[in-house]
Amino acid sequence: MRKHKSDKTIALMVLILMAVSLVIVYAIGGRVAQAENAATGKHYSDTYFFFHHVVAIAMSVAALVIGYKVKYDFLAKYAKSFFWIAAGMCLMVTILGRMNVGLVTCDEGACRSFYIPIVSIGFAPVELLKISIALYSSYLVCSRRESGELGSASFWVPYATMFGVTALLVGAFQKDLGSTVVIAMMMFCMAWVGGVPIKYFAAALGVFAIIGAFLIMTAEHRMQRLTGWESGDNYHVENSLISFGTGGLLGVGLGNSIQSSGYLPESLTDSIFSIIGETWGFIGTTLVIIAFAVLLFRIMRVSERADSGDKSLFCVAVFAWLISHVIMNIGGMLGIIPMKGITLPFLSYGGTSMMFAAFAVGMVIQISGWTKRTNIDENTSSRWGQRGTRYAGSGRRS
Amino acid sequence: MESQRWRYFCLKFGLLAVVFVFLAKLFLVQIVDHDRYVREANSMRVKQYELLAKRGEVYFSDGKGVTPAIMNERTWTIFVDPNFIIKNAGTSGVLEKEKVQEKLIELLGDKISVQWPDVWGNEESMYVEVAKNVDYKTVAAIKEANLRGVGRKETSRRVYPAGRVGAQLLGFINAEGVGSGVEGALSERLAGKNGLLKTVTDVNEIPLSVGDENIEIPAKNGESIVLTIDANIQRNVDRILERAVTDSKGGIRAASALVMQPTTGKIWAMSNYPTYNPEEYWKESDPNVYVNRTAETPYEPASVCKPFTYAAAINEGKLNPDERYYNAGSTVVDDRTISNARSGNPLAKGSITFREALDNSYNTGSIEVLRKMGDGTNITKAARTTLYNYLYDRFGLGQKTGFELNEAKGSIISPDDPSGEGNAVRYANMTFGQGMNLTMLQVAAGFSSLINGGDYYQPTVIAGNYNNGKLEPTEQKASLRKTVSTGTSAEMRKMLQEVRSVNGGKNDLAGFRVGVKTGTAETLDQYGNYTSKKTNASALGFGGENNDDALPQYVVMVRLDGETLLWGAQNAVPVFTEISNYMLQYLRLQPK
Repeated sequence: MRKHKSDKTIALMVLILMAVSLVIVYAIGGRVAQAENAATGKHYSDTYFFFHHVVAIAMSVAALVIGYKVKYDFLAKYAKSFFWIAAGMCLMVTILGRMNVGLVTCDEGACRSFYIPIVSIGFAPVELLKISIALYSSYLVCSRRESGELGSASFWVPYATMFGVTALLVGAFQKDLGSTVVIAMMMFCMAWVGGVPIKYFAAALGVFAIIGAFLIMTAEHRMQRLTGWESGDNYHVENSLISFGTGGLLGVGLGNSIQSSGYLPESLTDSIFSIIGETWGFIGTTLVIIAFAVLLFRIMRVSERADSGDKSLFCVAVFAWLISHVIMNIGGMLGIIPMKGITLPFLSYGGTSMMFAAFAVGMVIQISGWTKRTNIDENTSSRWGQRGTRYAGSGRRS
Repeated sequence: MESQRWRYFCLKFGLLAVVFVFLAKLFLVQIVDHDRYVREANSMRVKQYELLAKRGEVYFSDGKGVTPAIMNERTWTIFVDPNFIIKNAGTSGVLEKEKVQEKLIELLGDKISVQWPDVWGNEESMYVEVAKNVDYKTVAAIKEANLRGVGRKETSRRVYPAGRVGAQLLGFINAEGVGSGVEGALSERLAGKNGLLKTVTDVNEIPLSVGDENIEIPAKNGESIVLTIDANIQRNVDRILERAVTDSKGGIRAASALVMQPTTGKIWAMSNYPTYNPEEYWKESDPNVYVNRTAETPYEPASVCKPFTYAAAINEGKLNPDERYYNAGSTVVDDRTISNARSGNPLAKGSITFREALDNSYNTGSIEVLRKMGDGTNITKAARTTLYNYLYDRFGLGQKTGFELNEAKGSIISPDDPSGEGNAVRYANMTFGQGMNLTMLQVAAGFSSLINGGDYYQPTVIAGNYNNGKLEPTEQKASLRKTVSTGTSAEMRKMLQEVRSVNGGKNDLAGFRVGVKTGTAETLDQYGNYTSKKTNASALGFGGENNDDALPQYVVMVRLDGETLLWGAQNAVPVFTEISNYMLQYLRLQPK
């Protein structure tokens, strides 16, 4: 185990995505504000969204630095507490929403975040839940693997409880299927990499199928999303595709986006990738996807080389977290899968989601500074990240 | 650890697969289907608006300046959105449909042009017009009532500030763009040209400045036209005709009159009665009242045409009006005997001058004149050709005058007509204005040249355009041709003044020169026979200052269509006199 330079590429990719986000919000913020004002009678100024976004990004960069600086082990120690705090807040959001006492933002009956009106800051506790689950699950999987209990109840009971609580609070109460799927993906990937025998996955799949069916049938809008592409979604997807389609190869150019003038819903938040497609065309979307791919591969690389099992699994959790957001968001916008109403990390306008993702990535960068070298030997099949060592890459063979 | 590496590989492979699927789909949408999406986007985002051109207004002249004849008025169309009302009734201030209906009935009253069951019948409908041409006050009241789901749309309608004055002349235009009178005939000039605005809009249809689909062609407003028609003269003549018809208690079915300036061809009045209200033309059941009969309905004007025959012969040097001939009360032409219309007159038989023949409107006289244009005893081909040349080619009878509104061509038969209809009998009849179909406009325009020194001016109703409160006059057209010599014209004036002296001249204002010729024509009945049950009485004359240098200042032609036997002298002349005396005063002519 040794300390060396951290993975700068990860930070670079995140900053590139954030910069793209700033430029897009700057370009379309005014138009979105006007469309919004005309439709709802609000009075957003042309620069309202941009300035709020600058603040959100500054806070996210700060969150990334904090995630990088605060010792992983320190955070891991309180992982269980974080989980219960987050779960409690999730419950509180629901209760406050039901009681209709304010301090909570609700949208079509789904109450998902706190809102402090004076400073106009929103906070979605599900994001805290995600990071606490990543921390606690990685510890749980790792410690049970070491004691050989991955197949026993001492692993399954807390693991399933954690997910059960999430499914109840987030899936059922907050009607947030997207985040529930994200957390399921995180826990699945950690269990997968952590070495849980494959037969247990089959069993878990069966349980999921039952719970999933129940969840979907209890909330009408989820049913519609799965079965019928409710009319609003149809309109959303059509306009998202028109955004991409009109962008063509090079795009319509910065500031010339028309879809953001009210045709495409959620242009700043969930649909921002479509606006990137309209503005910068296929070139732009390809570069953004490459940036995400590089970011995700680097996170996996950090995971593979982490100096301890729980850190390694934490990286897997972050990978799963980010990739499930990317899949659900871009897949939805491209009409490949039903829309979930989920943000695109580091690009979508909006505070909490970006801040916590940045914090998590900051922790990954911190982990990247401590690697084990023991597993690299003559038989290593993968030579990822071995540049500069005595094992020369194939390109150097002459 | 080998197992873990494999599991990592699965996740990384999954990532690669996702990247591949996304890029493939993006390639399809952004590159392959780019054109399709651009088309789809344009059909959704590019809106075309017609920029409506303002229809030009029409003005009368009024001696000093102009007076509005046809104006545009802002009106509103009120419509409802049944879909919205039915769906949202009871929420956020949306009233129940019954309440909306009640309120609209209260505010709009009889302006409502729909049946309510039709309005609410189709729940999907989002636009049903409830009332049209709603005035500003009512619209303001509806706005005040703040009925959600009820909308208004500004339109414009044509209003006639002078009411029925010159109704047939001004005419109207219907929703299909078909019209009559000035509105119909000058529609192209009045209409202007609508413009086009093609623009990319946002979702609320507010135009955006981005994109390369934006086109703006501004609307070209229609011309505002000033008529030569004088509002005062027109109003007065309208009134005189109305009185003549109503006072006749059914004897006169319809009356028309035309007043023009003989030295320019400018028409001052074209009047017809019965009339209608052009603002509500659709309420009229008899479409005949729309017709400007002074120009559109040819008839046999009868003896008012005799001056043309006399003028032709005098101008050809074939007639000395003081010459005598024997008036036998009738004369034989080929196989026909043609009689004078008046009998029982002391001069019914005997040797008389041609002046006296004209004074008494003897048909034998004008037939004799025609004979003189030939060999003196027969109505030769040469005589007929000469008369045809004068009537058709010079005075313009039986051909369109070319004035700006609708007019009929009428008919006149040439001696060379292959049917042989242009024979001696026909031409004998034509000398006293029968056997040809002419419009009042043709006769009055030809007559103007006859008494103005021989200059034919094309009749016109357009004085110019009205721009920014200023009249821009159209250039005065020069005389088209010489019809008769100045001398002939002077002689004719003298003869017609003599006719006037025995035809109501005593009723003229003193100190002026007025000439007239009357005409009475039986009309063809449904079997094609002339009948004295339905007759036309006409009077055609001029007036002016009592001064040898002054040309007549106005020409007046009156036509009465009778249900009984009317006479030019008894029935049409009083109407002429009334108009003539009005003109003498209106034009501020100096008596001497």
